[in-house]
Amino acid sequence: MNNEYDYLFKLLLIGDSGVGKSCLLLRFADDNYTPDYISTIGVDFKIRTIDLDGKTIKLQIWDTAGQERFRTITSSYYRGAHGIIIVYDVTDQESFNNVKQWLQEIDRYATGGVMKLLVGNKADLSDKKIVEYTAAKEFADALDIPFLETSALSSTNVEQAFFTMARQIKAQMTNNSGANNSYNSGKANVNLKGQTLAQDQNSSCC
Amino acid sequence: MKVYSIYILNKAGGLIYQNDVNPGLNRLSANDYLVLAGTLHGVHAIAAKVTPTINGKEVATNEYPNNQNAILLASGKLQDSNSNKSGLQSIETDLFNLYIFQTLTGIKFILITSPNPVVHNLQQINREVANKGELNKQYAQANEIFKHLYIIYSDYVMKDPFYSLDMPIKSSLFDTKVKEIV
Repeated sequence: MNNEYDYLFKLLLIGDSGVGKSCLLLRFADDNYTPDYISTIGVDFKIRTIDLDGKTIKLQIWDTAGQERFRTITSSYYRGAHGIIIVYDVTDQESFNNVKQWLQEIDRYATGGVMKLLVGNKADLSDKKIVEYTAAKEFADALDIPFLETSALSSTNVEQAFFTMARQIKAQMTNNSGANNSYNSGKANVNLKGQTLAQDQNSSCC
Repeated sequence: MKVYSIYILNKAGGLIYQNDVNPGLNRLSANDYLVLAGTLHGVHAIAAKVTPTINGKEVATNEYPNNQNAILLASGKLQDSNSNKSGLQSIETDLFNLYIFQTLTGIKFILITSPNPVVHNLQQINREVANKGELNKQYAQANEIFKHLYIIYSDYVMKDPFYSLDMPIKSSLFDTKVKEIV
């Protein structure tokens, strides 16, 4: 029945039209590449099953359309996403500039503690490269978001991008649900340790 | 009405439960079920946008009455747990029917059942009326199942201390309870 996987993570790919979101996904899910450009209509899914710490995890990746006209129901796609990957094209300054807008979109629609990852795609086109690694890295560090440069064509860093995300989400989940780990997580927890109440000296009532 | 299959989708559109309670449907791969669930999630969201308008003004069909909270507090019971007012409610085909029930928290319960029985012997005009009656009947039956499903979901999934929210449901107790319903 439903015993094929232990976890189901929803990942979302966003970014300007044509930066290579679908190609990135095609590489990760099917280990394939196509140079043809086919605009995504609405949303597309790809699923890859991975094993992490003995647990089977299904990564359901929602590949959204970058084009403005498909944005009508975006909020329902952001809802409940565990991780969001923002993709830009290293040969296209404009797509990098728009990352800010995409981040705003995340703040507006996604759940609070959602994992983010910035990805500069088309890293193989080194001669046409406009957005420098250092500039993007600085930008990502300032926002405390992990950053990677990938190439769907040569499959550089593609696995890493998705695995980094999956590992982070898994860690976050076990942190939130496992009572054993909550001591170390530094998050606010209910303190169940016994504590002697300071006796009120001038207790007058009763 | 025969229930073939029950799906449960989390608020993100991920399939967290799938149970073929009665044989009759083709089996798909686990990934195909996930894609189906995600697609339904999207279609539901788009359908919810298609709200009837009168002279260009939206008719609020999806809004709950403002006194919903008061009713809830007074009776301790939600009168109508179905928030699926403006989205997709059912899909009918010659071979199966599909019903969707969405809770206020965004969980979707989906039933795939046998199609509406076809009434052959009646005259053309009566047939339409008769079919409609049959449809409403089946719709009511589906809603009855949804109600029970929601209850056992709350009792055996949400109250399970080892269950993590929005993740696949793997409780054999829940499985048995589901079987009891249908």
